[in-house]
Amino acid sequence: MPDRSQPEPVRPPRTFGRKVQKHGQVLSDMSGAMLRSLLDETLDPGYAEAAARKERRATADSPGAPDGPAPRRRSWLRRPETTLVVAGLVLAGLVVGIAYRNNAKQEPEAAVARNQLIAKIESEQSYVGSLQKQSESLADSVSAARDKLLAESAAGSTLLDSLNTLEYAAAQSTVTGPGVVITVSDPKPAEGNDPVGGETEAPVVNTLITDRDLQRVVNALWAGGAEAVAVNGQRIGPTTAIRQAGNAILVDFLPVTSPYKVAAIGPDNAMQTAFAASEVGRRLSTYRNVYNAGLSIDTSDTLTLKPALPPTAQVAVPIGKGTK
Amino acid sequence: MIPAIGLLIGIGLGLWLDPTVPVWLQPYLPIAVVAALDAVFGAIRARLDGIFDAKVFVVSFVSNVIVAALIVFIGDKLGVGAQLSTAVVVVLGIRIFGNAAAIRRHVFRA
Repeated sequence: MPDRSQPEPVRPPRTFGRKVQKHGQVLSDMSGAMLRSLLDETLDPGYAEAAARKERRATADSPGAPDGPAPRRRSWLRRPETTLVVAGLVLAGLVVGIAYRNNAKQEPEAAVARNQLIAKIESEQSYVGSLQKQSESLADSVSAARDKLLAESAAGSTLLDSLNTLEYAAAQSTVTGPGVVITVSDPKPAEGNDPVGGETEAPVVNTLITDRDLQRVVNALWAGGAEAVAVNGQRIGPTTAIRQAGNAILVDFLPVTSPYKVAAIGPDNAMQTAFAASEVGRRLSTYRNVYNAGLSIDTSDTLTLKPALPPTAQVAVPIGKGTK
Repeated sequence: MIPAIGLLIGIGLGLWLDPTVPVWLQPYLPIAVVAALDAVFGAIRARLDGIFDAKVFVVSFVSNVIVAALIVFIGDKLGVGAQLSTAVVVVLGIRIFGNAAAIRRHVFRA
């Protein structure tokens, strides 16, 4: 850009494109001139034209005047001009102020609604958590009372034995023992993944691990002789589903997030072999090598797995108490 | 000096009155702001160049705001409103930059 510390000479009205009559050149000249005028002529050409008009009038009024620069610095106290300018500037300021106020008003509204929703979700979640704790402690006291009653008679203790077997099969009892923990995690988002400026519609979630992978990991462990399996602390019972809902994986209808820890109690060598030989085991190690996903297999001497949530009866209805 | 006070009064009025902008007008507000800023910077630059003209300022300001809003309005009707408002912001933004650079050269001689 040329240096404009001096008032630049008044330009003639622009005639780009018109001077060149050859067709091929007109177009390239036009686009070039357009870009140049966009970058160079940042000042409204109206000012230059008005100044040129004024100068012409001045030279016409006094033909003998020397060819000096245009008369600079017109009196700011000329009433109509000043009012016009002030009115225009007040208008400009008004637009800016209103826009600021409007923008500031809109942002908190969205934030307030969002925060309210977040607070509500959190309070509901903690309520669910407290109910779950209550339910667990009640179930514990019920089974303790039942065990105590049944152990009193011989018939009762055989019943208790079969009850314990059934409860274990239904994943309704806490179990402990040696086993393996297979930890699978989604790859971390790449560095500098953030789009520059603007808002993302939704945060970029890298969900490489799907419900099917977890299902197959669990099945491979069962095949390796696992006696009890839990995913992120959620015990897998006979009717437990591992499903995907959008980006979340639900185990027994409760969301679990990466990293997924699949803990299994059983013969650790057999389970590790079964997992390594399974299709999902090979696939997950490919994920680890190619996509940087997490995969680790650890053995543990004592794993303690909590019971699964009791299955909800869908058809069965309990009869009144007193039936034996 | 008087015009600068006028600008401040305008901003103050806008902040203090806090008028509710009707919903149909809200998409054009950002465009109007950029057009207004362009007009103000252009006026300062013209003043420093010694070729300021009140009529040109007011007419170019009002017409720029209206034309910019009109372009966005037509774009909205045709489904290219976001793209056209980007175009308006880019063109006016380049002008603001150029004028700010010219003002800087006037003020700091650098």
